[in-house]
Amino acid sequence: MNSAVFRWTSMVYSFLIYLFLYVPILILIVFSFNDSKLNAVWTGFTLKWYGKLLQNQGVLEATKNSLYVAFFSTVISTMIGTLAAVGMYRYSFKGKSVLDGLLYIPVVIPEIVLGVALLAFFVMIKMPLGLLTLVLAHITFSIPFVVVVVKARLEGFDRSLEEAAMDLGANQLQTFLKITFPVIFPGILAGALMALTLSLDDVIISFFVAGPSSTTLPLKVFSMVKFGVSPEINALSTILLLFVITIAVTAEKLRIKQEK
Amino acid sequence: MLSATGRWLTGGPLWTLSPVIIFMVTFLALPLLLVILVSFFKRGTYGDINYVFTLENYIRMMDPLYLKILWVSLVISLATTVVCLLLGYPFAYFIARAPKKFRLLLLMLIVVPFWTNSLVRTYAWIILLRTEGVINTYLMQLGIIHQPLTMLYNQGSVLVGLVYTLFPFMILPLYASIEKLDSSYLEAAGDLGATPWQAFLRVTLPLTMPGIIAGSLLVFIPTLGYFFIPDLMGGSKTMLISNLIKNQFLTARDWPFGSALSIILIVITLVLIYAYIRVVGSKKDTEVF
Amino acid sequence: MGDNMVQLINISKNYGDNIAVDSVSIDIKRGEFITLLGPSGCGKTTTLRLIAGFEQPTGGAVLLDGEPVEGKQPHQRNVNTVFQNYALFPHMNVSDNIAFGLRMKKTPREQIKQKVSEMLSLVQLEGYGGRMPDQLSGGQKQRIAIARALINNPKVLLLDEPLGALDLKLRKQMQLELKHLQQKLGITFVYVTHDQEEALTMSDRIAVMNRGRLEQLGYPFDIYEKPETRFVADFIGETNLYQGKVSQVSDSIALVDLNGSVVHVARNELVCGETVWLAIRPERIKISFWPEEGKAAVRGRFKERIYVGSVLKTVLKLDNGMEMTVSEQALQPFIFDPDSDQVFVNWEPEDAVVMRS
Repeated sequence: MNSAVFRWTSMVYSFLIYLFLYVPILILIVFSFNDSKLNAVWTGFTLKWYGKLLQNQGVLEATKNSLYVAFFSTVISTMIGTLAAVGMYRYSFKGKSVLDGLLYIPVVIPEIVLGVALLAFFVMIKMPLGLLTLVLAHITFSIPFVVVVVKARLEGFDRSLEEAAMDLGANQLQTFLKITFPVIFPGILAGALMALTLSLDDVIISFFVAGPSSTTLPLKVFSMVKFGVSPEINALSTILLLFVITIAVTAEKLRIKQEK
Repeated sequence: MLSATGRWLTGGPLWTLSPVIIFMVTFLALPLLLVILVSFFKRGTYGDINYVFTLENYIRMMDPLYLKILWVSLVISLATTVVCLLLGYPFAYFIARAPKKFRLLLLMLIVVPFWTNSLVRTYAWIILLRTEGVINTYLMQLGIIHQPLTMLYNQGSVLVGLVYTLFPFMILPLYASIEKLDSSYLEAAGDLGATPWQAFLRVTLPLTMPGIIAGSLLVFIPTLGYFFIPDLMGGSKTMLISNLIKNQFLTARDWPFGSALSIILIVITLVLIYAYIRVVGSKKDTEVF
Repeated sequence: MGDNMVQLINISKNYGDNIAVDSVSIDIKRGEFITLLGPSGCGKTTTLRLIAGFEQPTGGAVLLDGEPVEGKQPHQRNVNTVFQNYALFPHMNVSDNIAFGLRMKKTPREQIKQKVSEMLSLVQLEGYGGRMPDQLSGGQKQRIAIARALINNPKVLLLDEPLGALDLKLRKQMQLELKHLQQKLGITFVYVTHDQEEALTMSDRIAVMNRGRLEQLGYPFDIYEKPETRFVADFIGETNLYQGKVSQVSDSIALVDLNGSVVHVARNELVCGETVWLAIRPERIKISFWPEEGKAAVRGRFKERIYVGSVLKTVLKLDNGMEMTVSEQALQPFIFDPDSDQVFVNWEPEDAVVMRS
């Protein structure tokens, strides 16, 4: 194939794919500023749908819930996941492959399976569905991602740095605090941001383990969409979108930076 | 030299690994075992569980009604995978062969929608496709059509929603395997008389097969569980296994049957993963030569 | 206080069935520059790590300045290490890297500042304190790693192939700098390398290791000129190595039968009939038309000549079937007669090193 022709085809094709990926989202955002309630024809600019959201008690409640769940699940899954990554990187032990397999499960099985399993489990142990069950579920599916991200960082970590610190008089705790932790910190941060976006975005698992009074933002969007299309949903979606994209882009930048 | 084993760090495995083990066993292994158990029990009269062993839940799946749902689910998942692969392979190829300084940006542009909420993305398509939606309205305004087209609430729209949601999962592994491919292989193939098409079939395709398989799995498996896409875009006519499971747990309150259906999903997943490990695992050895 | 700074007494280290270090004993003198030399996997780095305390020996003992250090952790030993890849902390600037050791000891701030600038001037990198490690060249990183290790005033500095990542020219320059630094500071250096030239250039003494064992410990001259084992003879420099049998022993000389050619060697308490190895350095051999008086001589034919700049290497096929390489000054080579290329190789009997193993 002629290389100029190849280049042009590939550029046009890629452009079309990017259109396919971005146009629906852009239209959704644009119509969140549309004056008409119909969500179909552009009639004029307004911010009233965002204003309406602020008066929507259910949305505010869901926002609060989402932030609460995201905060606790991120902090806890990052701690557990980081420790696990350090342990799995550093030690070989019996049953390591079993643990590896266990951590793969949430990544590979369809989310709905984990959702119904946790629902059955929580009901069985008589734990009322609510924020606590949401946090626990979110920790469960976030841990493997944190482990993967932190482990990747550790694999690029030069063990002789720790030895050098010990050699220069640092004890184990000092070595961890002054050397290991700062060096792998970008990885931990990236893992935490990943857990944060996973938690803020989750629909399927939350759907099963949320109680009636503990709706999260995506679940709120879900119930609103089922009720019908409205510019308010566009506005809410836009907020959620921008929020998550900001976090995600930060995380991605960190990941790329640490790979260099 | 032998690598450091850090033997002076004693007690480390205990305090680093016990939290994850305790957590994953309690909130992952036990719930999954519970689902397996429940799938062999009877449904009680009031939607509770009657602890009597039975195979009834699995036998019930042989009902043509449920077999059809399973069949349609698999077909739609497969179709999603194939469409993602056909759209994605050339695309991944182009970005992997793009100038190096743009590659990261191009890839990032794929990853960003991957991070946005899948529900929001589904909603975006509803706005576009529904009868009073953006596309119909503008087409009618422009006089191209006079009757709104019915684009939503059929299997086609479910397919669009699934492809749109899962497309990035296909791109990333494809990109990784194509980018790794050394272009000197293609030059060598050309040098030995292969046409570009032959070189693609004989060199590029086999060498990027691990990426193709990984991407296909990453698309195929989740599609089986995305209940809200058929829920929102499929209308009442489209019942897939994911909606069926959801209904068993939340509406019909037949947990044993819902559990049995979940087990089917787990089995499908495990079989595919096993096949993947067998195929790609054994390929790795020959890849070098 | 004894004369020895480091004593390795029969130390061994196994990883499962894999024996990395096999009962090695070395006494390292105060202020000495000693090199552990050997191919990769010979146990030299493990030996160094045993001294540093990164590994514990499975047998034997390590004494530092006369004190056994069994069970002591790296930070409890007054030795410091310069790592192969420098191991500069990537998140700290040069000053903080150098200051690390003193900070761990909670040294007063003023003192740290002064010591750091002393160290920077010692390695001739004044003004580099604010840089981050990834803004330094390989040679600069190397010097910072040395400064960082020296700030604690270690009794022994351990260096694990510290010049391995540098290019040849810089490496040569750093070899001399390191040697001068060691002479200036008077600190005991234990240096690990696989580069024999580096070892010969820098060391007071060399310990040649192979497969976890100590093959020979000696001065560079002795290691080169009087190898005690076949491995050492072969590993250090180029050599002609032959197996032979002692055929006759007299008062001052012994005769060795090399596959039919009998040569005489220094007597060396040889016993008639034993199997020995002869090592003859190429530069000790002369080519001539006739066997020379008082020398060991074997007849051979010219095979090929290789010009390598300062020397000319000639490979000959000897009448006994063996091959021999001879090095000559490239400016005054032996001129072969193209018609009759039958010549003799000659060497002084004492130039052939006789080894039993």
